[in-house]
Amino acid sequence: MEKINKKILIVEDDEDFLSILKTKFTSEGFSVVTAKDGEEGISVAEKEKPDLIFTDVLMPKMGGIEMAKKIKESDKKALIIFLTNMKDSDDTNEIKKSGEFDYLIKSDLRISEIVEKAKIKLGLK
Amino acid sequence: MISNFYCPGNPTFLNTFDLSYAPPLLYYAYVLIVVIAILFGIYVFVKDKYSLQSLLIFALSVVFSLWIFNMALQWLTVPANFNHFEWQITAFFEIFIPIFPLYFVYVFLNKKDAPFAWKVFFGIIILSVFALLPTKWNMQSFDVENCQSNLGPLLKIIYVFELLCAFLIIYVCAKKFKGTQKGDSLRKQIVLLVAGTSLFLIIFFLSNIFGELTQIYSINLFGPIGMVAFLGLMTYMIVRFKAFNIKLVGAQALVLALFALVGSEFFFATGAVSLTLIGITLITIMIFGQILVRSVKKEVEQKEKIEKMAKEIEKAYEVEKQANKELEKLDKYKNNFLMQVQHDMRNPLSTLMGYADLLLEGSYGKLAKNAKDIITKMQDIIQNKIKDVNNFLDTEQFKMGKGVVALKPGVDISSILEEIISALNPKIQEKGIYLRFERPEEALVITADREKLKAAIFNIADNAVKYTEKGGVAITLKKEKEKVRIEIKDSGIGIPQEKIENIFEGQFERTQLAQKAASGSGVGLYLSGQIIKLHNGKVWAESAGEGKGSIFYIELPILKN
Repeated sequence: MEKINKKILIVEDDEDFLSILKTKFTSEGFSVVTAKDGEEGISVAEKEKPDLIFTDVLMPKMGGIEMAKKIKESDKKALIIFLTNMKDSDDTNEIKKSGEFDYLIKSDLRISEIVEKAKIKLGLK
Repeated sequence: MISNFYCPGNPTFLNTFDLSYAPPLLYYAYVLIVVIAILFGIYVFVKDKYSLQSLLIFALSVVFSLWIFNMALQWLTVPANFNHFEWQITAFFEIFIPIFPLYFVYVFLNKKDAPFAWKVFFGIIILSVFALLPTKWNMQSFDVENCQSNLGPLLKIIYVFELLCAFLIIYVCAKKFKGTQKGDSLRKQIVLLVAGTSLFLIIFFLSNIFGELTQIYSINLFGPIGMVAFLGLMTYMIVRFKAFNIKLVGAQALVLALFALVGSEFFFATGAVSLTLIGITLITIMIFGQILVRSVKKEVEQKEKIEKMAKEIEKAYEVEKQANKELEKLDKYKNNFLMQVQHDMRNPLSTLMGYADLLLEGSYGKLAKNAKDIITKMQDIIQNKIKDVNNFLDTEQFKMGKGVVALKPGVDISSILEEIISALNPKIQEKGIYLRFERPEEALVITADREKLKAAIFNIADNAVKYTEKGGVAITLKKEKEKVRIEIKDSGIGIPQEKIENIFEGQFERTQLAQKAASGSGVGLYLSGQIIKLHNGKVWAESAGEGKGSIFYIELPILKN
């Protein structure tokens, strides 16, 4: 597998799903960093400067929405994609309406489709 | 013995009273005042549910009437011994007149009975006045020839006590007034209370003092006018803030006072003609008075009924508001619960699917072909489950009214149908049935929430494909006036008549819901129906019966702008 010179941050509290994403993206040639909640996500994002961030919504300590807003504040160009199983709630509807972020539903997508979305977002396809 | 002595005057009435001696005010004001006082007292007492405060008003009106009656007797009684007694007893009636208003003010402001110490204090004062009645404190001497008494200091002390009570009432009310907010109804009541009671006591005090100082006792007669002001204001207050109507008592008072006034003419009139005339007048007053009182009573009763109803409606409204609040809370709770559920139900499925994908891709080592087949089968099962869960959750959200469509103009309905058809194609080929699509030449553009409408129509078409094993499905798009109509006709198993009516209603029992979700239909149709309704559209089904296929109709308005 050829190496892709892009770094992806995955913020996800579900260890299994995190492991699946990490395995898949690594096997596709991305370099992958991870965080288990929003707080960790912010510090990893600052340190690692990822090209793209995938984040869950419901997480301990700090949720994905709050984290995404904070990262956007310090870096307006940050590419953040929500990847969650929360389809409709008042918070997520607000996020979807804002148009600032992509919003994907885990169970609607196969793992390879998630990789495709990442590649499109990064302009690799 | 002074029993053989007589005051000036001719005791023409009952051999005791000289009715011509008294000033006219006695008849024309006092009779009226006594009647009004007693009536107000009774009215308030009965209307205010026999409460302590109205009992006190009633008691005051009785004592006051006795005071007036005694005053009148002083003017009219000719035998000196009776007259002497009437002079003597005055102080006893007088002492109640400041005490009752003070007691009343306390009860009214504090909404409770006065403390025991107050009552003991009142009791001591009343008893000491009673004890002092036969002494020189009350009456120093009595001029039998003129029936004039040389009063002792007792009555003057009582007058001062009256004034003190008036100031005490003003002080207590002012203190309470400071503690209230602007717009508080208690504020108005306090103003009325202090105006009524202190005005009464001060007028009463002044008339007594002036009468005493000038020795012109006619001045004393003006004092009771303050009583009218007092009773009027008190009654107004109690009645106003208890939402009763004073009209009735007003009418009754008017009739009775008129009756009393005309009746008093009997004592002066001479000659058969005048007496007859007065008699006729009295009867007329009685009849018309009765009619007046009755009609006012009816009106008052109606008003009270309406007020009662209004109160009940208000109460019901409060209950409803409370219930709505509870519902909102429940709704929020359910929403939170549902959020958690969608997360928790989908998450393990996504994880299973992800692991299965990675297994197939060989991320965890190479797999034998039959192992790959099994994993692919597992993925089908997982995929179905994901669909069921999605359907279930969407349905729950629609049931909660959470499903909202964002209607946008310029949606090409043909392109939606084409996308649906291409999505159904793999299934069609697998089943070996046909799927036809007929559409008009012109582009049909409607206002819609593209994604939701597509999902709704897809559900119906998918359902048709699912239940068709032979033949196929034909989808037709037509324009009909201001509407577009989509017909989805299949040659499948059909729908039994008893189910066709509410096939889109989604009135499933829990167990049914679970069953339907398991088979992947029904729930989806409910959702489709809801989405189409939100587009101001109509959806219904027809079927010739079981095994004879069915047609689903969808009608959507073509909205201009």
